[in-house]
Amino acid sequence: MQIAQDRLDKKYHDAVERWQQRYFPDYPLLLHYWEKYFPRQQPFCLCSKLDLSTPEEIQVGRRAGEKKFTRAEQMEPEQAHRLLQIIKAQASTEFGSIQQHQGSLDKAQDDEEKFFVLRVMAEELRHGYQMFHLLTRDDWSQVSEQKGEEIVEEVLSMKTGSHVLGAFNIEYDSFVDNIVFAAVIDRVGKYQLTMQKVCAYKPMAASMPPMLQEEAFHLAAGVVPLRRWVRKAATGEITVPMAVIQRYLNKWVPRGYEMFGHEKGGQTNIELGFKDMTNLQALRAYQAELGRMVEDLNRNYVRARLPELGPEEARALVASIQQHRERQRGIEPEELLRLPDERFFRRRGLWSHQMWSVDGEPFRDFEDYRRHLAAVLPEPYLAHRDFGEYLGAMRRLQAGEIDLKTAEASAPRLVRTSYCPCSKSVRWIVEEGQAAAGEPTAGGARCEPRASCHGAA
Amino acid sequence: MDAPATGTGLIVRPVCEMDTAAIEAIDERLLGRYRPHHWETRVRYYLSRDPEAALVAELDGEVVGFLFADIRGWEFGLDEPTAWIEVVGVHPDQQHRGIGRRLAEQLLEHCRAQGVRYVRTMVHQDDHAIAGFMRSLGLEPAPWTAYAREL
Repeated sequence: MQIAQDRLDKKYHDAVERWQQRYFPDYPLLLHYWEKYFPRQQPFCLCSKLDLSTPEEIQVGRRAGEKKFTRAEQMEPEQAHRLLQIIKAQASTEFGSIQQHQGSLDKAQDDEEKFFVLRVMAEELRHGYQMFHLLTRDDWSQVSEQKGEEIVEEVLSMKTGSHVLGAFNIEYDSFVDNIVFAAVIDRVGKYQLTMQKVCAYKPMAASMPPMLQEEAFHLAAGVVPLRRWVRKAATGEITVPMAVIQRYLNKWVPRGYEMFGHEKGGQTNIELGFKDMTNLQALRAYQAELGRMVEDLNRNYVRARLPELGPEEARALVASIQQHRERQRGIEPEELLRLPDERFFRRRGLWSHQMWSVDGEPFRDFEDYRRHLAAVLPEPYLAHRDFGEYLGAMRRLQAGEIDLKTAEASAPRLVRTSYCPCSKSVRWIVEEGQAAAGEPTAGGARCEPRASCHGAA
Repeated sequence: MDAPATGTGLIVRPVCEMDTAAIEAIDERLLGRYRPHHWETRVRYYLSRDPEAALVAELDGEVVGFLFADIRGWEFGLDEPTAWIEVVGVHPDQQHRGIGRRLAEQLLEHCRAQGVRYVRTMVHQDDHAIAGFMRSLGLEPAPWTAYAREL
């Protein structure tokens, strides 16, 4: 891979740095200890990176074989508009994940794991910077009333609760969140970036390989601690018990599934030349990979419990325990991890707001469902606003007070406010009529009290 | 050589975190030791550096070999960028089928693209199989001697 590095114009670069100072205060710590944790490696570079070996021709879709677009104005308006939304969503997720990681970073038991997560955060910052490169080095005015400057401001103004995708609006409670998020949600990122390698807009396609290379490290930053935790749990040297890991999988995997978009969607992105898989194709590949990750964790657990077993015996024992759902060689089925059913705890897509158990059993009674969620999700999460919003929406949906569309729209969403003291900022807003799940609001849109009134850019 | 694996669904690609278990299993078959912590650390290390210099060979969906190298700019007073081949392993059931060679060829291609002019490694003097493999790639004994002492 031949890489060209670049920096944003000073005002945008400075805006990202100001955002970093506010939301990622441990960044200087990473730079200070870089050599200790990443010896003899290139220092971290807050810059954009483009792969110079990107193909010249469009690889998929209606215009496959034609020359890739190098400017937004070369695309049809619908195409450019859709791509702009993809880039904004991508940028939002990058900055959003840093805000989430920062919240529980200091709860890491181990400095090494903490610094690996710090590096993940720094690289997410670079990925957001990369998306700003795409937004500010081109003219999107034909498809957006916002100037590049305003789009950058909008993204930098988002806080946990206002990001485009739901998974980035959930605050962390513990370092288990940091790790499970890296293993589960960053894996969605890997699929999205891989699909976008074919993007008909060449600067986007050229952005993907360097990002993917960094994303591979992010996945390892999640999976390696998980493997070590399950082995410790197996020997009684408990850092994080299996039951706790399971609860965090139950929390994050449904959000990961939803990040692929509706199961019936994605064809338009292929036709427009932006991605090479439908949502469902990508989701199925992701599920299979998550399944292999969980299987690997279970084998690590079994081998640590029964060191006399070889790899194939451990594999067979895990399969047998899961198939027969009975205790074997001293290991209970509940000790092993499993992926939650794809219908469980869904808020978007084909199974949105339906009542299914983590094992795929349907519920008829809302209270039974609520008790089940309380039993299988991490305890601190049950007190979160995010979970409260969901439960409120489900309760009203089941009571027939709202329809599915309203329930789906009930999560706080991004709105540009016009009357806040800081009128340029974007706020976490619950609009009247959409506040079905939370407390009803009076007088139209309101500022969420937790939201800060200081836009970063 | 047995039937070459080349052209029969063999893919050489950069390592990823999901390969750790397969690498552990190959290592366990070769050396008889189960070392998950070691391989987790190594895989994460290579992923943090240059994944295109840390390769696995996948045959019909199964990882059957790996070759990890590291391009470093300065070492032992050598001022030219050098690719150090640090570890190579091929599943015992898949050896002598050209898998190690495919891994090495892809590494060398990557190294050339990075402007690297030298590939170096160290081989135990009693390890004739690895020494033969390195020679088959064109690596020759170099005028350097490894020194060591126990502490």
